Amino acid sequence: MKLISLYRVELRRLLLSKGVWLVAVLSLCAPLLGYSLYPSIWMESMTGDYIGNPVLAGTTVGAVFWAVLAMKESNRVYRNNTSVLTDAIASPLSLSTARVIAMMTISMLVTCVCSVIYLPYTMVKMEYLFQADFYFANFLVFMLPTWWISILLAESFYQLSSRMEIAVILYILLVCLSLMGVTSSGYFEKWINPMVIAFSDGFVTWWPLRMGLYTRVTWLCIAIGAWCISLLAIRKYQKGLLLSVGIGLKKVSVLVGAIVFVVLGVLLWVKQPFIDHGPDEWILEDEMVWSSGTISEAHYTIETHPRTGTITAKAEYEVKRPYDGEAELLLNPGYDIKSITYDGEEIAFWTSDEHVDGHRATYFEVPGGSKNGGKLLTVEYSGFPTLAKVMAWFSVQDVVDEEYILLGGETLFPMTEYYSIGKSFLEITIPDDLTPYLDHVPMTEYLDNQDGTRTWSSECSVYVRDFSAAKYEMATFMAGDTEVKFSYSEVYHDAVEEIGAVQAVKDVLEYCTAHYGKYDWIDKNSLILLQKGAIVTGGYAHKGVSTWFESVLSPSTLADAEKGASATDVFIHEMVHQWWGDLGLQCEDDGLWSCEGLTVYTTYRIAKERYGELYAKQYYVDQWQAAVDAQNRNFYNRHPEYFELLPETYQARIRMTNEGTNKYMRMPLVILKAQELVGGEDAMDEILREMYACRSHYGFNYGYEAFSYDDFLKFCGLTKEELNLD
Amino acid sequence: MKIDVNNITMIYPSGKKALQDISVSAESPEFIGVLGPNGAGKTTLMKLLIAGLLPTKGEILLNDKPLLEQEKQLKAQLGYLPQSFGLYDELTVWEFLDYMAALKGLRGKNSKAAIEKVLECTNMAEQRKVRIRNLSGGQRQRVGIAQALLGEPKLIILDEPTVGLDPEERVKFRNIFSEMAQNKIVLLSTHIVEDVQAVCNRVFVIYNGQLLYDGSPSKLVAKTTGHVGVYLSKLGDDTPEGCQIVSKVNVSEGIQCRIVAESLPEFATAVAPTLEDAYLYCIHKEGRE
Ligand SMILES: Nc1ncnc2c1ncn2[C@@H]1O[C@H](COP(=O)(O)OP(=O)(O)OP(=O)(O)O)[C@@H](O)[C@H]1O
Ligand SMILES: [Mg+2]
Repeated sequence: MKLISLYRVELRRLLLSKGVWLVAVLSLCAPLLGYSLYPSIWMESMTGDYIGNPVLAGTTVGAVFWAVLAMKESNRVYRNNTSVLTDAIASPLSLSTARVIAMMTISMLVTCVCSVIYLPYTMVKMEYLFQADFYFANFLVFMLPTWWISILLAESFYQLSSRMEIAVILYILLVCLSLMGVTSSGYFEKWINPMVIAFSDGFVTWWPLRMGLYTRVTWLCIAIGAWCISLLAIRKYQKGLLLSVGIGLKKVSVLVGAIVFVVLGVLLWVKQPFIDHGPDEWILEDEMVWSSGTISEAHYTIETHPRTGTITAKAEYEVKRPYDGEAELLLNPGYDIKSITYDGEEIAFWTSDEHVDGHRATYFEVPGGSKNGGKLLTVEYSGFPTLAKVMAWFSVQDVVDEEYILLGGETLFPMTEYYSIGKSFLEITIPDDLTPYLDHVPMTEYLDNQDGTRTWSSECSVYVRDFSAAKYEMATFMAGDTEVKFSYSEVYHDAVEEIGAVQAVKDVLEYCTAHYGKYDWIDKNSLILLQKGAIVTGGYAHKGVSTWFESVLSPSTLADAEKGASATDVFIHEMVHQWWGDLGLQCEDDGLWSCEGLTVYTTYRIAKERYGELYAKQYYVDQWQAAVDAQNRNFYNRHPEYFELLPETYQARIRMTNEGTNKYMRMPLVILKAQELVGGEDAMDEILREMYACRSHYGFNYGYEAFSYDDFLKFCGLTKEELNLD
Repeated sequence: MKIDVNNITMIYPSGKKALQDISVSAESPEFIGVLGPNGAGKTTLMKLLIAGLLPTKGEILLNDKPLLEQEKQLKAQLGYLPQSFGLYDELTVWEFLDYMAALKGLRGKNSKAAIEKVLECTNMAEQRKVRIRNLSGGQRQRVGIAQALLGEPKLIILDEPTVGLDPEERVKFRNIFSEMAQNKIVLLSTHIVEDVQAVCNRVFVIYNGQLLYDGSPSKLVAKTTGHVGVYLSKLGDDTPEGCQIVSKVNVSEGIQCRIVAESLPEFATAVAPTLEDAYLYCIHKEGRE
């Protein structure tokens, strides 16, 4: 076929062009920007830092390079007047098609090379957290399609305007649209900088890639459509835009292609299943409804389908007394209700389009109302859970994935204010290698279905905040008289063993409980310490349960020398934060005083108990002193007048170093000095115990102020001057 | 191969009427020279023939079918050298010709042989590995000619192919064109009447968008007999009324002037016309009307 031979020719010609090689090399370098200068994912994780960020930076920056190349290549044939030769013997339309496909081919080759080049570094950096399929999938899902989209759009703009400057302006406008976002569904406008909320190391979820792929396909359709339209507009017979289009319209196949792809793209966009389509503003309920219907028992049967990310489910209610009139059920907007039956008979229902972000209301009426009680109400529903718009920027709440399932609230089963429910039972089927936690408590009873799945069952509360399942491992041990269940992703199995994490947790719990008081979240002598993935935000704790983040165990955290002398010590440091931190006493952060000072001090005290005085002095006190001395000696710190003269970036770097030293090194020294002045370790421990006892006053309950340095001085009965180190 | 141009008028969007009611037809073999002053419409005619422009009125038929429906067939058989064109500067001569050969659908051995052949013809064999950006103006022109001749196209349209070539090369090329013209249609526009005389079996004279003459060069010459004369003039003499001076040669007796005119003044002696005289006479006559 002519097109294929044209393609071969163009490919060969492009490969001989220096511009193409330049763009290839630049795009290969672009991921470097992701390591520090241009990170897209703010939530830290090894996968985000070493796969997500470089790939996304390469995607976005590289896309611009490819667009420039596409426009330049198109422009030069006209500017150099080479087209008069080529157009005479080949159709300009076919030539342009061949050129674009050739460029897409080259960008594909570059993507492959790119993924290979960055492979060794990524593997070394990520150690055991590296997952090859996830790594390569990122290049395939984000980088390649985005480069293609960029090439197609740039070509379209050039062909439509046949003027380089207009094409560049249009392209820049579209890039701005993507970077800034215009509408509230801005996630989809991000054609050149795909949105990724977070990547988790230990709780790998493909959700961001699923959404990434979907947005890429959507934009690819739009770009192909736009490009087909621009093909029609290729100037012919030296005519202008309109006449050329008029002539071009005779190419029916291209016209049909343009229409099909544009329509497909728009449909995909409008029908996207990832983020709620509801109105931008929350519609608040007019009035509280006091349930007058009663249900004695509710049984929820949920099947998860990790391959498609969907669930199918059934809610069965033993209705004692139906509500008179229309009652409302709230469910995740991604779900479709298949049927509602009462006493085996299907009953009518309707679903509201206007809904509160993240849950949609369905209305139904039990025939006969309150007089027709004592029967079974069944609601069958299924679908792919969507994310509430407000949440979509910073957290993935609901995921059904092969290695991680996270569901909660209306995404698990329907909620209603119209009925009071006596008892609720949950039955949920998940892959058999996942361990489920219901509101952070391990589930215990299951049935093996012999098909790779298990069905877990348990009584549950009326509102289940959080059902999660992952490849968890659990260590159970006693710390004092508390039974501790320490759960972590099996990915960290070796790390946990290597650093003796279980012993460390035990030591921290025992030490802190003994010295500062009972840990808040211990309930009836039991405590579950549950590791959570980086895709969910916010620490969480309630009676008997406290969550901790996977980042605590990631190699980059454990290597942070400021926090402790060894990986184990760093881990201890992070665990101590349960006392001095958001879940314990919340401290103000003034650049010197913060939770870190107390946490480092306590870590030092625990290290002293664990390894002896010599170790503690050598690896903690001496280190603090050395760092503070170095800070004092630093030329720019001694001569602020020269500091002022430094460029902004250097100033910022010095400021950051100083702040780190202040919080992690100077403050512990200050606390140590306070300890001396108040009469030694025991006296200091007593003060800290009193401080910790006041935690409900400081910070944890919103509305109170965080614990400040002045508060600390008050508790110690000391003044600022007395604690001056210099 | 057969081309019919029926009552073509071409008006550019600017309003410029470049061609007016032109009708010609040609069937291979034919070697047509297109003569005409600057701005006459030669290039316009050629662009119309290669479907690079759409005529405002009239139609062009290729093998009895409308040209626009025959674009594919046209492109497959066309060798075209535009008056001004660009090359891919970063490619070598060979790479560029290889690229063009592939666009023309030549493959493998055929392509190699074809390239070798045109390189030989255009005397560029030695420069095959030179990047195009490093070529001289005349050498670029030769690459342009080479790509037009690639693959022995059935219709060759050359718009002033010999500009920038030295006289020796020019003569060589016109012979090459003539050799190639067997069972093809070659259309060659030029300002060098001598070339047309040497190789063309047919000539178009275009002036101001109009086709003044379409026929064999010898007939054009024959028609001019009696309208070309010479006389001796002294310095400062006015050009005689109704005459156009073709040449002035300094001879021992004074200045010998060669003129074309509808009716020669009596002091001039009629001489045998050349094609150049015939061409000038043709234009001169038209200009006066
Ligand atoms: N694209 C254009 N738009 C408007 N007018 C044009 C265009 N191209 C050519 N013309 C005009 O049409 C007339 C014929 O131009 P054309 O190029 O065909 O002349 P030509 O015979 O090839 O002249 P030359 O010997 O100088 O190459 C000229 O008056 C020219 O100014
Ligand atoms: Mg011309």
